[in-house]
This record gives sequence, C-alpha cells and structure tokens, in this order.
Amino acid sequence: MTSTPTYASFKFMEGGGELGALIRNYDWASTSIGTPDQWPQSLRTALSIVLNSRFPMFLWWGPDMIQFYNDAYRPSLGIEGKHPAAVGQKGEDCWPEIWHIIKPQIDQVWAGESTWNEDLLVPIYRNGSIEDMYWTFSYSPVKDEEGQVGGILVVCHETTEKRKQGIKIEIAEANYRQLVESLPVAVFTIDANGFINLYNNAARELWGREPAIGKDKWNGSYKMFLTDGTPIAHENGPMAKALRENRDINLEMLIQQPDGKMKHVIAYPEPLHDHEGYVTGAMNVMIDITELKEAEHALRASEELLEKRVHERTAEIKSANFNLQRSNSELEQFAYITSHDLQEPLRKIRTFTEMLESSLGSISSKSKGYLDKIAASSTRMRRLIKDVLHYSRLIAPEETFTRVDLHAVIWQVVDDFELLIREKNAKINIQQLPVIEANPLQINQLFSNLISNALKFNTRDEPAINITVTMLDMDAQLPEGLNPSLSYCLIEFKDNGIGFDQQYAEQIFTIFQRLHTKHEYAGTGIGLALCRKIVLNHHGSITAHSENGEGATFRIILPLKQFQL
Amino acid sequence: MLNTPTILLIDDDIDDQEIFTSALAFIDNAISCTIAPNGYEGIMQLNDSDALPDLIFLDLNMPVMNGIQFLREVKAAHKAKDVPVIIFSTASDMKTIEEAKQLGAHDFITKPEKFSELVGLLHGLLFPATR
Repeated sequence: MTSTPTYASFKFMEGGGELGALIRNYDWASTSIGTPDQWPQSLRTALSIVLNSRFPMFLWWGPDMIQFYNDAYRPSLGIEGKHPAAVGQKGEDCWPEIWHIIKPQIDQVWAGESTWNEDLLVPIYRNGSIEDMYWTFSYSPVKDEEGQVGGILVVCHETTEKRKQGIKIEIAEANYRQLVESLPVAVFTIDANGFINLYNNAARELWGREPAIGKDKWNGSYKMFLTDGTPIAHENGPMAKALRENRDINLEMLIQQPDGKMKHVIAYPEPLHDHEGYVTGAMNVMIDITELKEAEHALRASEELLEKRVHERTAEIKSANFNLQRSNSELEQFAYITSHDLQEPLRKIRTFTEMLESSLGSISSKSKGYLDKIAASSTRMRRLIKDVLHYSRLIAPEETFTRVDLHAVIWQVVDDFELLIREKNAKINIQQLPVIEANPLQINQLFSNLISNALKFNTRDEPAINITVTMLDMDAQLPEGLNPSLSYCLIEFKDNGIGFDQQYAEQIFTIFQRLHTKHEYAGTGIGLALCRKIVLNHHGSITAHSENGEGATFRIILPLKQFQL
Repeated sequence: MLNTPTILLIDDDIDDQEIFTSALAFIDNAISCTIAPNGYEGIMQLNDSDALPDLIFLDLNMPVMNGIQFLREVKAAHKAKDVPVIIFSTASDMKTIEEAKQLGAHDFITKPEKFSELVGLLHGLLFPATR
C-alpha cells in the first residue's frame, strides 16, 4: 500500500467518497488488470463515471471481471457482507451465491448486448444472512480501445422496498378478488368505455354465460327486460345509465339466460371514480330474487286457491243452507198437514164413533168392546200426531238461547210430576244444577221426558231418581263433536228402575224405537228421540248406560255457554 | 134467543155438516138450518132469502171464498152485517182468530172431538139463558 499516493495523483480516480478512497488505496498490482497507470483510457473513463455518479453503479473489468463500485451502490452490500472486500475482487469470487443467475446475462453482455431486468429477485448475502432483494438493473458492455468489450457497467437500483409494497398490494388485490369472487351476489365492473373488466362467479351464474373480458359491453347477460316484459337495449341498461349519467341506479329487472331461463334481479349499479373524481367505470351489484319471486307467486297462488276454496265452501254452505231452509219449510208444511189434515179425520172418527154408539142404543158387550178399541186407537193416534208434531218443531228449532237456571227448571218439572211421584212413592235427589245458556222450553221438555221415563220404567216400591252434576275440566275427554274450547257440565239422571240391555243404549234414542210393547209401558217411542234432539240443539251430547234390572243412567253434557261465531 | 132459531152454516166439509145438523136435531128438531158450502154461496143465500138467519156458523178454511173473505164482505155493508157470526173451525192459529174477531166475528168455537161436547156448546150458544 506504499504506492497509494501515486494512484491518488490520477485525475480519473479523484472524488468518489469512501469508495474513491478505497479504490485509490487498493493494491491493484495484485490484480490481473495491473496498476492504474497501466489501465486503458476506456477503463479510466468508465471508472470516473462510476465514482462520480450518485446512481448506484458497479463495474467489472477484464476477463477476471475485477470489481469497482461507488458510494451509492455501497448500502446494497449491507453492514457485514461483501464490502469492502468486493473492491478489486474477481466477480465469480464475490457472487458465488448468484453466479448461476447472472452468468448467462454476463455472457450475453460479453457478446456485445445490453440487458435489462426489472424488479428481479436477487438474494444477496448481507447483514449476516442471505436476504431476498429485488433489483432493477442493466448490464452494459464497455468497449476498450480496440472496440472489444473490455468490461461491463452495471447500473442498478435496489427496488426491494417498492417490490415488497407491490407484493402487499398484489396480495391485497388477490384477497379482494377472492372476496368478490366468493360473494353470493353478482358483482361486475366496466371500464369507462363500458367494457366488462371484472365479474364474479355469481354474475357468471346469473348471466348463464362467460362474458369476454374487454369485449362484452355493458352487461354480460343475454337479454334484459323490465319487470313488465319490455325489452331493455344493452346500451340503455342500468349500467350504461350509471356510467353515462354518473349516478347510482336501483332497478328491478329480468335477465334472460342463453337457454331462455329468466332471472329476476335487483340491480344496483353505481359509477366508479378516480381520486380526482373522474368517472373511470361503473360497478354493478345484482341480487338474484328469482326464488323469492317464485315463492311469492306460489304463496299468492296458494292464497288465491285458499280464497277460491273458501268461496266454494261458502257457496256450498249457502246451497246447503238453502236446502236446509227448503227442507225446514217442507217440514213446517208437514207439521201443518199433521196438525190439521191428519187430526181432522181422527176427530171425525171419534165423533162418529160416539154418534154410532148413541144411535145404536143398547148394544152387546162385544160391540161395546169394539167401539172402545176404536176410541182407544184414535186416542193413541192423536197422541202420536201430537208427538210427531212436537218432534218436527224441534228439527227446525229456534236458536234462541237465554240464561236458564237448570235448578229452577228441574224443580218446576218435579212439581209438574208431583201427583205421579206421590202415587209411586218415588224419592228424588237433586244436586244444585248450574245456570247455562239454553232454550228454557226445550230444557223443560228434556227434563220432563227423563223424569217421566225414570218413573215409568220403574216397578219398585220406592223408585229413586238421583240427579247429579259435574263441571268438566278443560282437559276432560269430551265425546266426539263437542268443542274443546267450551266449558261443559255433565248432568246425570240415575234411576233404580228396570234399566235396559246395554246393547240397546243407542237404539233407544231412535224415533219410534220401543224396547217394550205398548201394553207393558205406555208411550209413543218419541220421548228419548226428543231428548236427543234437544241436547243436539244445545250442541251437547246424551248417552244412556244400564244393565237389565240395574237401573238406567242418562248422561247429558251441555255447554255452559253456546259457541259464538 | 127465539124459541126456534134459524141458522146458516157455511162449511165445505160434508161430514161436519152432518155432525152439526145432527147436534142441532139432538137439541131441538124444530131448529131450522140452511147450509152453504163456501162464503160465496153463503152470501148468495143471504141475498136471495127475505128473512135473515139468527146466527151464522162459519168455517174458515173453504174453497172459492174462505171465512175471512166472507166476514170482510158481510161486515162491511151487507144487510146481514148485524147477524152474529160464530167461527166454527178446527184449531187455528191465534193470528187468524184475532183477525176474524177484528172483522166482527161474535165468537169462536173449535170443532170438538166429542159429539156430546158439540151439543153442549151449541146449546149454550142458542139458549144462553138456560145454561
């Protein structure tokens, strides 16, 4: 290093800061290019440029590619790395870790061509480890005095920081693209000229086709319509409007897929702006509401169907009601005929029988017996007509319910039967009966028939009738046909009479049904049929339970209040 | 009432005509009774005869002219308008009975089942003093 002052006197080696000093003091005699006084002018000029440039530069010279670089290049080598050993070092010795990357390019430059690399990853050993570094650099051949390539000038710029930012942006953009792609709603964008430049999978599915990026304009769908079916030209579609008129749009519309399938969508296109506020394109978010609309249609259709059914049912009920009214009026007609026309000949039979008897004067006991039979038959006939008439009136009942004190009614009935009760020596026990909504006359008839039956079908010395009441719980098992939302009471008429065989428990409620001959027990066979009719008119139920000789129990369930529509 | 009252029975039922006249005969054979089968014939008879009957027995339900129509005609301006009219009919609804009374009917009797009862009713009407 004794020759250092000698090199410092060379003008081309002046300046250059730290590297300038290192190069001036370097022992060039130990290198293949020799000492600076032996260097050709081309090297001297090139080195002068390198040392005086503020741009990072590096120079290889000679077949051994002896190295020079400047202060601007210095930071790229880090703190504990190749610097300062790289000065005067052979290229291959300095860059073993990347020699395989740069050697092909170096060979190209030796052949006379320049190279250009932008943001190239070149991992370099510095700061104690191999670091990923990015470089934008150019290798340029430097010709010597013979016109041959004497060395290679490397002008470079480390872009690691810029590149790292770029990667961050790329990752962010990839994330954003993935986000857009995976959105369940259709999203697409167009550029300022209307060409599609981005779309997601949902958009592709909605369109039913793959649009051509940069070719398809305004919309990727096949055809567009307003909801009333009016076609929309693509250049007048919502996206074109948003772009042209620079405003947000909200439009419910139909788009047709290539196979003809229609999709019902709501489109929300809006213009996109750059940082200066200029329109750069537009973005459209389309929500597919086809299934929603179909469900809405289905719902409406089922509502209409329901309404239609209600109408039909109402018509049926009206018709049934009409028929019922007609049959009720026929029944009234029948009742009139029964009461008048049937009673007329009967009255005459009785009158003429009497007249016959008196005109005959004294007659044989046999003849008298026949006349008595005629009289008895007509009396029975008269009762039958009266009962049938009564029954027929119950078929078309007046639905006039009032609050009826059942307890008062039962005692009134017991009073009416006072004579018979005393004759038969009967005992009647009655629990406190409730007040319910009922037709008082019909309830009177019901209780009368039941008491009458209990007395009639009883041959004991001391007939007993027990009338009990139970209020039914809301969760009580109700007979079929009763309304579980109403409150009911159960009234039981239990006697100790002859009873009946349980197999006839239903039959006894049928009109004209008799279990006994009329010689055994008088009656028309209408009484219990009337009872059932009355209970049904009150929307209740009546059943009978017995074993022969064990007495009978009639169980009546009546609502405390009638159902209000 | 006169000893031998004259009676007009207006009734379309032949059996009831017979029962009625038999009952009258049972009371007194001398009672004179003419019969018209409906209201119209009744009015014709009243128009044709010089003497008016003492009582008119009137059925309600008859063809051609029914009892109510007959009452309207006679009680309005007919020469027999003051002759007592007794409705003689099967049990009828209260409304019809009320209407007949409004139109001037004197009394109402339901055709009874027993002959003896009819005799008693008629006797009471014809000879009230002796009842």
